[in-house]
Amino acid sequence: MRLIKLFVLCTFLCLSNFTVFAQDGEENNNTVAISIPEVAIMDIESNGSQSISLVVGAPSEAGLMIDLTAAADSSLWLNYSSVRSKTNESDRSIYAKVISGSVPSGLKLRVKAQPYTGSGDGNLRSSCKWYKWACFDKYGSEDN
Amino acid sequence: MSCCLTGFTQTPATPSTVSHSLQIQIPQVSLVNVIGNSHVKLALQAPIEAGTSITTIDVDSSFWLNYSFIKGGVTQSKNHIYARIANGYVPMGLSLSVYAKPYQGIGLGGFGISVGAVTLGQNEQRVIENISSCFTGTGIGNGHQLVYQLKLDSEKYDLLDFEQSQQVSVVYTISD
Repeated sequence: MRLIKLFVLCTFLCLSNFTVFAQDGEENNNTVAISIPEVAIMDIESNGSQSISLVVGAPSEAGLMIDLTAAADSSLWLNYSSVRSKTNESDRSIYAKVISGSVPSGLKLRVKAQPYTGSGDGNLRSSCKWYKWACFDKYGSEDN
Repeated sequence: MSCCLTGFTQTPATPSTVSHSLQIQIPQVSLVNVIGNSHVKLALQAPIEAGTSITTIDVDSSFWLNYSFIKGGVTQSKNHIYARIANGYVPMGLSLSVYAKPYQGIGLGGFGISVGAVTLGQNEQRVIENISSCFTGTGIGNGHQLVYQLKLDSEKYDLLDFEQSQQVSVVYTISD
């Protein structure tokens, strides 16, 4: 009980000293405005060229089908930064579509974004599904 | 052929977009092969009774045609398969015909249509026509089964010669 009283007394003295010190200084009201920008930027990055080629191989023997083993590429990476307003958007998505040219008839082109890896931070989403495009699709449709 | 992909974030005010190009290359393909276990041997049957004809009922269907083709929409929209005798000749008094049966197998695409029985000679004869992009599958049971048949030429019975037994080789070509 004595210890508590001593502690309360010390606290009171300390506060009193602080108040006195503050009254000695010049009055200064600082307004700190914290402004958070909306951010929605993305980029496609690669170690080499961002123009990629998917080459369909010819069959080696009559009766065999075309060879699609080399018609794949995983050299491109999606980078993005996003700061969103919780009230306006609960989350954001990245969409893709073909904007020029067309996928040759008889073939379909699909893309899959692998789960996030890297040194970023935040709520990073991932897609593990294949998406495909038809020539005039606005967005790709899921292709499992 | 190339196409361009773009991605954009779903932001009401200022969507951020980025694009890259992607080239798709399709090879020209035109391959044909004949698959079979053995040589074709077609023999004439000698008559067993004086006064009757030799018979030519012998038929062989041990060979199959396999092929793979990728069309060129403008320059080569269809392909056909032709056959000709490249070595040897059919003995006088006889004719050799081949007939490609309708397609069967595990392939995909637009297979050719058999033109029916074709008499083989030194000049190319169309055996299968109007092939679109397809592959037949490989080996026996895939593609078109070939049926060879030896026939008597009734007008030339007098030319039959038992010393004229022959071995002939037949060449198949896939071409427009």
